[in-house]
Amino acid sequence: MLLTKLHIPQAGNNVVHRSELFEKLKSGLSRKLILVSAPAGYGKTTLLSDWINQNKISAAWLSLDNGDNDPAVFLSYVISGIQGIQADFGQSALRLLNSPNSPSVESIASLLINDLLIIDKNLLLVLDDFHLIRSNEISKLVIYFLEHIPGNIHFVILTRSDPALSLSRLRSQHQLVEIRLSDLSFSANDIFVLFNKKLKLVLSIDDVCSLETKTEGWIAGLQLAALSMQGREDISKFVRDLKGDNRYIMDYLMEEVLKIQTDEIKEFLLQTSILEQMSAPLCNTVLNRSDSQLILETLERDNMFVIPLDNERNWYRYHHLFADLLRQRLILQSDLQLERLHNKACDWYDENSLPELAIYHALETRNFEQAIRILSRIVERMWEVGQHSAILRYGNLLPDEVIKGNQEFALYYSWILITAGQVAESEKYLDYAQKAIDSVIRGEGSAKKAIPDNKFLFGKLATTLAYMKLFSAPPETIIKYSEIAIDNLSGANPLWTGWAWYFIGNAELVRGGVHKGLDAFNRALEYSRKTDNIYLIATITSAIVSRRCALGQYRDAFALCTDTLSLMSRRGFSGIAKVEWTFTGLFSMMSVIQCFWTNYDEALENAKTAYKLCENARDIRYKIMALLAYSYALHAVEDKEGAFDKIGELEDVLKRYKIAPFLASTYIGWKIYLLIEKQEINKAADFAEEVGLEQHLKLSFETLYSYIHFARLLLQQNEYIRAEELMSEIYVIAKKANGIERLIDLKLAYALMYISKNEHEKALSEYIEALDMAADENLIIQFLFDLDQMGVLLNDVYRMHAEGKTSISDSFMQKFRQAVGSKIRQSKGSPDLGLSTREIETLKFIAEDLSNQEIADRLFVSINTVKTHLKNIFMKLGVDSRTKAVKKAKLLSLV
Amino acid sequence: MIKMKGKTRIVIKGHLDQEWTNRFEGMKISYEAGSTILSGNLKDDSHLHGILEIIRDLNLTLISVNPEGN
Repeated sequence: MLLTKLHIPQAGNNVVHRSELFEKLKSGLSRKLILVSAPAGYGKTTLLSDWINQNKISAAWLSLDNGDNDPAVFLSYVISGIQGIQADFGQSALRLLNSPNSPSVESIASLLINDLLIIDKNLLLVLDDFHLIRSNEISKLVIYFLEHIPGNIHFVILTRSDPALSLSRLRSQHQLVEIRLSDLSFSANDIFVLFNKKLKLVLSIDDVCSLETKTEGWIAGLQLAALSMQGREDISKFVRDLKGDNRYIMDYLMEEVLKIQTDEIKEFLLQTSILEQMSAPLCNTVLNRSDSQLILETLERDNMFVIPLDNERNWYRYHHLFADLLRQRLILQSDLQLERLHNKACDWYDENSLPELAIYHALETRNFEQAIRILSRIVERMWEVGQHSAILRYGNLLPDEVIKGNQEFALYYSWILITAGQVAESEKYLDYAQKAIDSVIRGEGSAKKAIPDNKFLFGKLATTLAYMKLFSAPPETIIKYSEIAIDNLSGANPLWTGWAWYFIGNAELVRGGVHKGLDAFNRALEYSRKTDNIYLIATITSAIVSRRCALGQYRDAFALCTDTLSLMSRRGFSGIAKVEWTFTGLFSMMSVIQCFWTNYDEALENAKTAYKLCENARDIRYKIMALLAYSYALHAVEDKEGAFDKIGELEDVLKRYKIAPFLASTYIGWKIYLLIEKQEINKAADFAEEVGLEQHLKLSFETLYSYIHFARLLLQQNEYIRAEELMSEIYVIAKKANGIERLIDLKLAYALMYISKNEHEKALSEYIEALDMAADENLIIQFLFDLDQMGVLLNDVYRMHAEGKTSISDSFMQKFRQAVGSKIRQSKGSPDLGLSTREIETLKFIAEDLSNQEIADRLFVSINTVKTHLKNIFMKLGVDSRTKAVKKAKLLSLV
Repeated sequence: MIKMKGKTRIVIKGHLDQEWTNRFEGMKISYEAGSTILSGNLKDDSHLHGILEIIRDLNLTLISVNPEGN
């Protein structure tokens, strides 16, 4: 991190204070954005730094450069800048940022907004040279900030061209103060103050006016003019001659300025112009001198457009426009010289541990080999702290052959390409590694021979190859690659070993080995927890949880979720789980499990969290999971319209993406169920046909859910034979995989079938078997779905249990009865407790707090009759006082 | 947005020295009635934007951008 970028540039001694602009800036303290938009050399930076200094306003300043187009880099600087004012700012965002899986910037932004709310004074966030930002992601981020910052935080954007930040909206909301070219241009009066008062040059009023016309108030031009006037006898003549020939004024002035410098200074200026920033040791090396500090200080004193970048006068830079004009002249001198200067600068930066700047100079002379040599040393670190855009940018700048020749860089570059979905693009860079690993597999060579001296690198490359081929190669290949990876990593690198085990787990699942897959995932989990990589931890946890659920191991699955979340908070990541999309899967599954257990409040809350997270989800699977979980939870709390709306949202997503069979089947089954429940049998049938359930039976464990509901649809259509055939096929598959949840679904479908066939005993026995299976994992919700039809079985179920004819535990049976009871009351709105109309009327009067006599009067009955009503009401509601009766009646929406 | 590609003529106010040619990659500098003309083949939009950025950064006054021959 270059701290010089966070330094507020000092305005210098000869600054013209611009009080009328200060007034305008001051009005910005009640707005969200101060925009200073004007070309180079109009004093934007000077104006702001002078205003901040004079008024002692708290400000975090960031001088942007091209490298800040990576959101991770940009945010790191923003956070560091604000930390200069509020030391504990952005800690958790920084931790999230420093992870190699580029978390969504929105997650980080929302954490930062929370931290900004704590700051209670006016704070300016100054982004200088914002025109250098080309990244859409950063523009979106700044827009997000502008929408959410509290009133005491103000963005100040200094730029050469207007940024794409919805300025017209901010303008119409009176949240924008603009300072533009016409405000910034020097008036004759300003010119008079600068030349005559500050610089002690003696200009006549005519000269001042002439300068104003000729420079159009352009401050950089005026300052160059002032420099050219140094030591001249006839200033008026200089002013008269200026711009007589319509030539670009800066060329003219630059020549005039250089003309009066000594050869030594002229050379210093030209040759240092290649440097983005200058320190005396750097200049000494590049120019073979030893007196650079002295020269830099002289230049600063003489107003030669030199700006100190720290208080210690260690680092300086030229004014950008001035450097640009100097560099233009240097380029015309000699290519060889230019190359020599860049090479020296590159070496100096490299030796002084400023690799980014070293790479900049290497790339300036197209010295790609040197650039990638330096890059290969820092690329792992860059990857670890999520600077993916920066790595991609370097990858774009470097020729393919150079990248292929450097496996260290190729490795991380490919990983990022794969993550971004550019798998084909990544292949060419891993070609060499691919050949090496294939020869190892064929037994033709050892890893050592293939990638000399670096077993770890070979292990990482093998992991990346497994990642690259995860969706295209046969599972055996993935497993082979991953095993070679694990072997070479030899347990030393938990992050990469964790990924390798994760890929093995996926491949095993594709092969159908659920238990082997789970074993591999568990190994992966172990390694992942040794890292701070929350993306890896969340990914693996989600994978295990979803498999455990499929196997009916809900308690274990849920325990793993809570365990992971508490691990996160122990590590200081609490709060992050609720803003980071990678946790969508975890919250979705927790919600579904809580639905199974009829913990509706928690289920709904977790579903909402998942839904909020999935907005930013980059992985489409998570979006689908969250929408399904939300729909399921809404249905559980009787919001059936809401449940259906979420399915609609899900279908919008599906229009754009394809999803895995398991998720697709869950969606299809659930939608059919919802349609049957709404009695829209024809719609359900059309839908089943549309998704092709009818035509081609593709029964597998992954797709069972949709077929179970298809079978139920057939029952609704009285197609008993077809339904029964399908159900017996489902049974074989579900039984083989021991999928408890599916088996319960199926038993319940059988029960429904027997009920409609009037075979009560058979129905009862299926139902009790289902309950028996559900008891261990406490699964209740599936029994609450068709209560209106299943209701006929309940009395017998309770009786058989009371008589000890079932093996179901009492505690489960008790929970079951409670859940059924409250569901019946909930779904019927007013439960059938056998209250007569008179009794309900009486209840309403009690609720109005009328006395027995008053009620008797209202109902035109005797007080004894009222007392009888009360007694009956108490009995039917199971209460023993008027207050409790009212409370319960309200609960049941009777009054 | 109109795609700029092919022969293009950019007019800048005032006189810009020939020495700047190297900065405007692929463009030639000529003069016409007090203006500087940059002309040449544009590769694509980004090429144009690169040139416009240099014009902006030097605070030159842009008068017009036109496809040539029209």
